[in-house]
Amino acid sequence: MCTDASVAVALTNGRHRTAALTDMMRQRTGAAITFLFVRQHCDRGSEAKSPPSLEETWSLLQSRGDMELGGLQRRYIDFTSALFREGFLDNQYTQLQQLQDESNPEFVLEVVTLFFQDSEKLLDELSRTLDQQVVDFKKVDAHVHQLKGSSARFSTSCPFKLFLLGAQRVKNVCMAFRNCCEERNQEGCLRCLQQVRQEYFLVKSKLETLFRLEKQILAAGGSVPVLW
Amino acid sequence: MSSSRGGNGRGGGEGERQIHVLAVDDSSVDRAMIARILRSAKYRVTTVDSGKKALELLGLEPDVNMIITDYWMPEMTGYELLKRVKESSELREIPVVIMSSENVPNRINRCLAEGAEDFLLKPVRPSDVSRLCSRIR
Repeated sequence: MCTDASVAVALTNGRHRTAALTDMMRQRTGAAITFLFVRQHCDRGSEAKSPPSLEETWSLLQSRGDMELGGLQRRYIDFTSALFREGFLDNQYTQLQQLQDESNPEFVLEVVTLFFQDSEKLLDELSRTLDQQVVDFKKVDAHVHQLKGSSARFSTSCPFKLFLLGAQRVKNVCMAFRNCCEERNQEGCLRCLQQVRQEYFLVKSKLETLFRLEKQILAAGGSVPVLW
Repeated sequence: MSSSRGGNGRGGGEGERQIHVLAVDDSSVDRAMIARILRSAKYRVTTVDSGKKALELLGLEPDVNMIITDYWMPEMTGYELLKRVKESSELREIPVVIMSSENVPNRINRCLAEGAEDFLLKPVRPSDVSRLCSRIR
């Protein structure tokens, strides 16, 4: 018996059944499902002499939690759409997804992980530099320039918009940050750093949620919808 | 969305010889992106994070067929790297492409005047790369 969550498809007239099944799922779950991954079920036991009826398939689905799958995919679509709307992601995320394939199945995750590592390193360095008895404001300024520069860079070359990048909020904080450096205002710098940190962790948590949803979908045997 | 590729494709393009590209960028994210794009176009890619490391590698391994470098890097910019390559008798034949996230005409002109093969605006896309590499033979 297969243990993965697959939809049972009639063996003789598979195509007909698949379409009917998809329709039924849509009707019953009320979900606007963009992708429904339908695979052939491996077996229902040796006694089965005829393909399963739609109702039989439906109860199989429910018992295996495939109902959850439709829900998961819908949640994913809703969440991703919101991220695009709120400016956390833009179409460069879609481009990033396009670079992922069977030979590089984790590409998006790898790039995002690099982004987290780079950003946190930069934040830590800023923290450390501002934490000195005698603050080297030139160094702080250089880091902020890197932050702003990488923000500018990230805003175009990296798909994660907010922290990265280019978002007006981050730009404004960077400008304020650099002014504080010029005035040698340690307090001001620390406040700016705090703001930048907040923005970053916000983006991070959004992206982590996204990946968690993807994992759940894949674990349930579904495919991750791609929003073009 | 996904397409299948031969895992060990030979040659960036036709022929037995695989084109070796040296990618230089201080951002690990950007390095991952450009390497991915180049590799999926079947180029052999080596990445380094600074102009200094690029020159070290070029000194040791002269089988690099193209250099693609970010403009803004700490210590040595892509422009400075370009100049060093073009000043060297061993290296000057290697085409150098500059990448930048900023569209600054003066900068672009300066790089082209110094002998850059092309100037790409980030984010670099697969179509930019295939356009480029069809000229490098």
